[in-house]
Amino acid sequence: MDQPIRRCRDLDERLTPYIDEEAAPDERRVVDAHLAACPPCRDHADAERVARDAIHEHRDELRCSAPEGLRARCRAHQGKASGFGLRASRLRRAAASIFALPPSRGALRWTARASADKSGQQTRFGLLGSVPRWVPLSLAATIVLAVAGVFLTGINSGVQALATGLALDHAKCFQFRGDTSKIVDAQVVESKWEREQGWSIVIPESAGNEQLRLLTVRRCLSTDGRMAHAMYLWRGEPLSVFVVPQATGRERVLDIMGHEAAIWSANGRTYAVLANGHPADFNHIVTYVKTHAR
Amino acid sequence: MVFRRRSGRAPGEPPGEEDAQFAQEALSHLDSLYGTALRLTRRTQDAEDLVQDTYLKAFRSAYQFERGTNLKAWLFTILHNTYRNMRRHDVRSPVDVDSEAVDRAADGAGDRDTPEQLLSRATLDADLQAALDALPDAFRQAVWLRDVEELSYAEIARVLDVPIGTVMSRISRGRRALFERLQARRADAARPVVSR
Repeated sequence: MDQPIRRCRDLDERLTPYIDEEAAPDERRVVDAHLAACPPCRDHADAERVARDAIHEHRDELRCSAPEGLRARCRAHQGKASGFGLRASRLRRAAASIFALPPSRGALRWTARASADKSGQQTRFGLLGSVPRWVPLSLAATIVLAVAGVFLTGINSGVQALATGLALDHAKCFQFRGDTSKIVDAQVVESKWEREQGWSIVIPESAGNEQLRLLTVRRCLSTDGRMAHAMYLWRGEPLSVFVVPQATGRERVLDIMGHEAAIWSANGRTYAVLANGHPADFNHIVTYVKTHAR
Repeated sequence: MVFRRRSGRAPGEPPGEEDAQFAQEALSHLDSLYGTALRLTRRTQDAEDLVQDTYLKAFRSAYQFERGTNLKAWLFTILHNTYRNMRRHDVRSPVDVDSEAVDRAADGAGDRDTPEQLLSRATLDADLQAALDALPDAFRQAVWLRDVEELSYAEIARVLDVPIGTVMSRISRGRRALFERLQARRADAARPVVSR
């Protein structure tokens, strides 16, 4: 780092280690020589040193104590996160024995296509005959999730518990749905929903320019079946839009079990959009759904 | 991946004594995480949510933490990643790095106080809080992690996910901008009030 300083802006990232006295002796000599010859840079160095000393001087006042309630809530995460890990492990072993899965050495993956990257594992799906290899693994994971979900709910805030339920429904519904070639008309399913469930929903139509295809709307387990689950394919990948007939509070974006989820409330309804993994422009589709769901 | 597994224990394996120690040490950094979250979000409720999410993720990913590295820096990395994730979908304002504004602030020096004059002010810490809060996010984060949380340049680079040279440059510019803001506040306070 002891190259000569040709222009003052070369000093930019070299001044801080110098001020902090972490520069090597040779580097220190180079910076000293430049500062001796350049009054403006000397002023910069003085300013940086004064600001740093001011912060150091008042460091204790700048720090603050976390509220006791927060401490307790964070501590509670510890016990329950560990407890969940233990239960998930047992459940996975149980599921593995049912589906003749090899024991997993790595992390249990939460996405619907959980095992697409487990290329080394050979599995068979005894009940339904020969199916693509990723199905039984993720099906088992889904069943594990569904059972583990019982333990999960209540460990977090209400919104996270809801999001956990949504992630389970998202994985499960797409898993058991198989046929993704047919699309339905949004207005038809909206009026059917209102007729059968007694409350109305408005969801985005299939849209070619968004590569969004509405597959179906169904009732889901979370929130005791009071939730509408609109299943879409977005750019060929599963996307869920959930509508709950009550508001739950302010907007949240969560990473829940490997799914990106956005949850917000509007007009007495709570909406959630959930996608596998972390799509680069998830924000875009959330905005689109916000515009078209009412 | 910056941190390797500390042991062969996968997330599904039973927790043991090691996990209790890990949790205890992780929770000892709660004040630091909360203070940093407050600087990032500027709202107590958001800061509490952010810290809770951070601990939840940390406890679930404990197996990824490499023993012997700085646990506090690892927690800060999770905190900042979570915050960035939150902000990505937040329409309020993008993370702003107005380098030109900082340059203008840093270069537009008028009459300067001596360091001693500046430090002798009784109300400095209130001014300091305000001046820190007024810095552009990227500079404030770098300065905060260095000068308040005392992380190394390399640790800050990992936390903020930027090259180490950028970290040093942001600290330098951030400190200089802070100096200018402190001076400006002092000049305002010293201006005589004229009553008619």
